[in-house]
Amino acid sequence: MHSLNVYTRLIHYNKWMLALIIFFFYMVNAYGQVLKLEKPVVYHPKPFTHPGLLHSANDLQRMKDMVTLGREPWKSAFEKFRSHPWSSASWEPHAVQHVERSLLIGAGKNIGNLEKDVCAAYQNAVMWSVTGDEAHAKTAIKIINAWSETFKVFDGTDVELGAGLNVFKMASAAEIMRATYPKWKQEDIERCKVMFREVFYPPIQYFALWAHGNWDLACMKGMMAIAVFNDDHEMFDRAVDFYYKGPGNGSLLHYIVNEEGQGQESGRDQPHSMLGIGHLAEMCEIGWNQGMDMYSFSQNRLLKGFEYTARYNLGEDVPFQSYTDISGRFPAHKVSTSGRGNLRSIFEQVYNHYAFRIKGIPADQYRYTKQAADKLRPEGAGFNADNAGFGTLFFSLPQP
Amino acid sequence: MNKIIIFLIFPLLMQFAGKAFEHVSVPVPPKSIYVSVSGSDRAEGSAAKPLRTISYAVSRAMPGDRILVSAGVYRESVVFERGGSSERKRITLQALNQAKVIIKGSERKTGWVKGKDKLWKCMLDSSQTGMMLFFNDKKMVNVSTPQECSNALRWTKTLEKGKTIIWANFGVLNPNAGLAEISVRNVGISARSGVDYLTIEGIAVSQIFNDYASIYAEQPGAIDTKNGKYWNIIGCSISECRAVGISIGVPGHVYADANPGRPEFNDYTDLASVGHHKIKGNHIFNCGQAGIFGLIGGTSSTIEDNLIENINQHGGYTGNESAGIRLAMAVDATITHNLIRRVYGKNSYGVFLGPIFQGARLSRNIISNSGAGLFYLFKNHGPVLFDNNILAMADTADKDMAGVKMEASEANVFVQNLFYNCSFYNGRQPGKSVSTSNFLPHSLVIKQTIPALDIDHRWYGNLFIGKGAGIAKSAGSEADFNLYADGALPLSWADLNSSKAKNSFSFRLEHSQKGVELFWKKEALKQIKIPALTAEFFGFFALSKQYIEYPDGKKITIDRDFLNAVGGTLERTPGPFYQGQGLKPRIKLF
Repeated sequence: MHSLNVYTRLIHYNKWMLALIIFFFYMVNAYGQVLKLEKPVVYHPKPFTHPGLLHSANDLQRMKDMVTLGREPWKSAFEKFRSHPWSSASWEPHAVQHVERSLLIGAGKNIGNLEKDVCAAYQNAVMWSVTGDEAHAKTAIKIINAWSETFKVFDGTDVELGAGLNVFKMASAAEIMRATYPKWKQEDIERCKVMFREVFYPPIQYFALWAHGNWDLACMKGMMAIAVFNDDHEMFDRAVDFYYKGPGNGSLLHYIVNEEGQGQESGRDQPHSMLGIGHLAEMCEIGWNQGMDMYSFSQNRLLKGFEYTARYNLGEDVPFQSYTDISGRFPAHKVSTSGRGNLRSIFEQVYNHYAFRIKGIPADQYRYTKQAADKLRPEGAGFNADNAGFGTLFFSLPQP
Repeated sequence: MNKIIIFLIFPLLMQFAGKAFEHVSVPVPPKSIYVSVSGSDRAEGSAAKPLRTISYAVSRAMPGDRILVSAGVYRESVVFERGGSSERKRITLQALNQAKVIIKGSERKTGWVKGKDKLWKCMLDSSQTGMMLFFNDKKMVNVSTPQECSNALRWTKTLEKGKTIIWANFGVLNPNAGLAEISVRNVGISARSGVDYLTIEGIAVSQIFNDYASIYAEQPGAIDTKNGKYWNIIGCSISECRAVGISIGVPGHVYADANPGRPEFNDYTDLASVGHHKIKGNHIFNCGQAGIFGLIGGTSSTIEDNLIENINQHGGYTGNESAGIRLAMAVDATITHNLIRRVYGKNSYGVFLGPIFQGARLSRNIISNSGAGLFYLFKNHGPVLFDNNILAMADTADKDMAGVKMEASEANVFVQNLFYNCSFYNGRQPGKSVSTSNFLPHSLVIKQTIPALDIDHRWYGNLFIGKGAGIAKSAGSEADFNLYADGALPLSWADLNSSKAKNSFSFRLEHSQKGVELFWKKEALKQIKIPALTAEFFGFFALSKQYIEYPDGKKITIDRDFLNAVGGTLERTPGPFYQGQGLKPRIKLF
């Protein structure tokens, strides 16, 4: 126990030393696709805070208060959120026993059912928190229960993506509902935990070292979400450990590959680049709600990634360094114009964090992130189950 | 009234009774069917009254039956129409009391007429052009013109009025008095497509004129499993065949429009429906392309204790699929303690695997003297285990030729091998365009289809002797606890705990007719403290989601040496021999 405390202190209070250790680690290791499955160090305080994924109890209260008071930008953001079909209390679940996410021609089963349902569960959970309308609570629970009663098999060539993305949203819904809706039966909650652990977790447990970084990241954020809901501390540390020093493309320094903020997928296309940094930010937010600061790691490398990506998608040029990813499969020599300019709803969260939640970051260090958030405001849905979306409602903080 | 009722009901009762009897399977006890060159196919097939042909015996055999063949030459193609029904109810074709039974693809040819210039000639009844000619069991050399037949045991052919004329030089001997044979059949033992659970034991097959095989086309073999699975081919001799000795392949095809959504080799999805052959203790020699060959049939198969030698001995095959053992789609194949030597041709390898051999294990094999290298590992995501093998390149081999060539082959784990004069090539496929699939562990369920690279290899506890080594660093690869000698050098990017031997090993292999021995100065060995070589030590291969594992999924720990001695946890010598028997100056390997 004493040694764990030492590690915890090291992580929490001596980030420079951690950065140095990790830098050294990178210098002496060439990565492949082999994992040494050792027990990770302890990164977070115990016990978990609930609700403690993207939204703390304070976050939910703030949303409710601001919407009730009719304050902007929450008022407009909520109107956009409420009018979205997945926010409807009349949503009916379409749970199935088998979901397959596959790239193979002719394969793939029911993935659309799952994606829509997890989004609907999540949005109804937030609707319940903001409006107090129990119909939304019942819908959110109905969707989660339907799947936990039915869903048994998740497979396919792209199962890591499917499992990571979808469990993140379903666990986000479940985390809110367990903390705010006492009528959700304990037996249903336990069955939900079992589904997370036995159906969603196995496909993501080894990450996706061979793939573009957004795959690892889907696994990592899904793992964090399950871990918090299931109170599984070792699982949580496993995901956080990968964020700091994982051997795949998804760890922070492998995904935002230099101090300029260039992304591992910047040379691939812009939608995936935004997807990936959005995942990173969502992990940081979960960490924040659990008493950790993952945002600031490596001198706010995350913010540099957001700035680079926002800047390019807002129309400015960015420097590009030829880069071959950790898996060696995706060399890139120039920034990709594919999908450029179609901003995704990921910017409000990071902008608000740096502009209003922490002190001391000069405004020019987040100016492109701010511009992207300004341009999109109010942010809409997060492209299927990819990211949380609706950042203006979820993450806007009162300006001092 | 009763009579009317009976009249009406009787046919119904009869129909019912008929169906009832029809569905009652009367167990037939397994029987032995005897065959002899002195028998008759009109006989009952008993020991006292054997059949004459194996083919007829095969046509009568039912699951569980055993066909016992007496000594003699059988000039026929044996094609099974049915197989066994389970592991316990196989159909077995077996030499009676280890008699010398030989199935020949040739017919004896007489009627030779002495011509001029020492040449004899004979006319065939057909216009057959593809053939091999043997005289007193020696293969004669085919040349292009009669003028080239000036040396003994050479032959050529001409066509006259639609008939083939053979011209041959038998030296001073008379072919009508000796044994002149012309190959006329392209199959020795085979089956209709999809016949399972056959055992072929102790049979010799020779002089089969089969076509060359390709992983992407037909794959005929002198013994050919066709599309069957669970064949046991044990203690057979396969020789003097034009192309492949034993084929465990199914006909392949080119995947012209392959893409990640429709990858190469997506035709096979169920591991239980393919392969599972056991090929053990066979002697395969003087075959023109490969000893054992096949697409998919290697999956879950065991190939052990075979002597494979003199492959492509005349250089007749010039394609790029020649090897002692050539397998593709060989998931979970186990290749153990085979002696493979003298594989000729500039594109010929000891063992050529790929595309795809995830989960395979090559253990305790001795491979030497092959034209293009000892291992060619092509397009695979791994992991694959190579342990306790002895790989020896010839002293005369081109120094630039790699003993182990890895091309787009990931996660090859080399443990406790002895490499002599054996360098490594580790590269990606030039101009790669088509991705390679990997599967969920121990299955054929495609998990990912992405380009295979040159990464994640392991070299632990090996002994490198002579020229070679110098393995270039590649992502994710590791090497340590190796011993280097006679010019081989530790790797600059790894080998922190490896060592160099002070003295020469004076290593050599001495081959005998059916075996091989190792000679060395064992004093050159050096002990190194080597950690337990467990699956966890080698790591979890995340793409394939498996450790180094047995086909049943259990993790492998390397704790035995070539001679099956158990290793301790203290310091020991790198390479395939622990203490005891392994530290003799002369070791019988095969």
